[in-house]
Amino acid sequence: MAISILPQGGFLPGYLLIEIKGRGIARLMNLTVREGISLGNLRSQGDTVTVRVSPRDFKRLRPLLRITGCSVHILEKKGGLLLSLAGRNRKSLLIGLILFCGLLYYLASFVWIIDITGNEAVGNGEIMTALGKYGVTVGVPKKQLDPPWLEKALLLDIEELSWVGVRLRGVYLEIQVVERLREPAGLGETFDLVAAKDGLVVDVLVLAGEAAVEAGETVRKGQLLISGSPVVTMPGEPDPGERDRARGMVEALVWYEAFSQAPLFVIQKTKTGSVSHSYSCIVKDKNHHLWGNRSVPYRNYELEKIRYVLAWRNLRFPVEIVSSRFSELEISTKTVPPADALQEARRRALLEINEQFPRGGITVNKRYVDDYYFPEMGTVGARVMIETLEDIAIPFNLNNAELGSDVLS
Amino acid sequence: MADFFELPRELLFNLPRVTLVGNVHFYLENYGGIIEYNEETVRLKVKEGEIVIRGENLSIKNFYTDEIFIEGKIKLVEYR
Repeated sequence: MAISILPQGGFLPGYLLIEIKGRGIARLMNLTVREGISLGNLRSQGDTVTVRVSPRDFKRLRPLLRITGCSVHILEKKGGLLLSLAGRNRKSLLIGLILFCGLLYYLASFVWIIDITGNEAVGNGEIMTALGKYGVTVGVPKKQLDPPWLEKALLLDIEELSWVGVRLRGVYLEIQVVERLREPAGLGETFDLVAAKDGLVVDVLVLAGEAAVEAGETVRKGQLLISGSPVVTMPGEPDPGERDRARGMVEALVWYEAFSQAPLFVIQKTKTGSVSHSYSCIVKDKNHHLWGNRSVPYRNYELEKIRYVLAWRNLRFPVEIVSSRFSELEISTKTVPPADALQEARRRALLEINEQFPRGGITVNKRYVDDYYFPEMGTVGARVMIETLEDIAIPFNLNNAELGSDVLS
Repeated sequence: MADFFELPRELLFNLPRVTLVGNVHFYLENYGGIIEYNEETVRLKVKEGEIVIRGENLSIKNFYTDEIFIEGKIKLVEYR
């Protein structure tokens, strides 16, 4: 049997369900067979027959209907996108679909979103204005954009930026910026050089401005060393009230002092070699003794605890085994020769000084000022002083203004 | 002659060949056309006569030049 239960042509192009009325139905059916029109699923209801037919065959059926005097009425149109599009009533839908695709394609050739990231001090508005100058706004055609060129242009345009990245992704224009680090505010307004610390001035070298101190003078922290020079004006010109910034070096002897202590005896711990073991298990945070010594048999000891936990991945067995190993210790005190202790105290004091010692300074003198013995405390102390030669002139700004305000005012 | 050559008679004399599947499917080869069709009766032209099928809810699933396939509750198949 080679007959197919499905109508010929399948359902892919869709089909029409039609109702045929008339006396010549049988004749019509015989004619369709002769014409090669395939009808399927004929169902008789009273004097009408419903038939399934392909849209192509439906057109060929019409002349036969006239011959046989039958009337036809479409009940349903089913399946197939092409059928629904080819239908006379759906022409506008097809046009709409084409228009939609075309419009989407057209609109995708513009920039619709401009996203600026990385800016803090420079406002979005400022960047947008700069972009606008080059014709880059929301709605600009993508063809007109040249990202590498735009990057350079933005960098030149906005001084505060140190790097600009422009990337075009679809209708999305991504602008990444990195801002230039700004100089701390206020520094540019300083004219005078003041003393960073107390010291004895050894040498004054003025490059710009006027020296306020001389060699041999003792200065205090914050004291004016070199003042900014007044602007030289031509006779008759009004004084603009501005000064040049002072530049120069003021070398001074600066002293650093520190005090530190060291013990006269040290505590030594030595293992006697005697060891005691103890094992216990922990269930729900409660310790249960298993075997070994219950209490520690030594006065001084070192404890080594090893916990054994049964665990696999994140599953944990609720019982832990703890092995404790007590090693007996012998504690002895060893006296340190006072000379060695003093050496140690001085070493510590020097270390302390080194922490506050500037990098550019030169150590001129190292003096151990005082040594102290504290037998009742078992320690010795040492006071150490270091004399250095360094440049103490620093620009006056608001940060160090309060330190030497009494001197400056 | 068909016996002599051991050939199927329906091929040699263009005789109709009917296949029935239970009382639900009726399949006919070598038919000459539809004479009458409604829910209860289907009359088909065959060589030297006609075949009448009676039943309920009869529907013609498919039909081609020499084959027809009918579905429904078949009660009677008659050769006239």
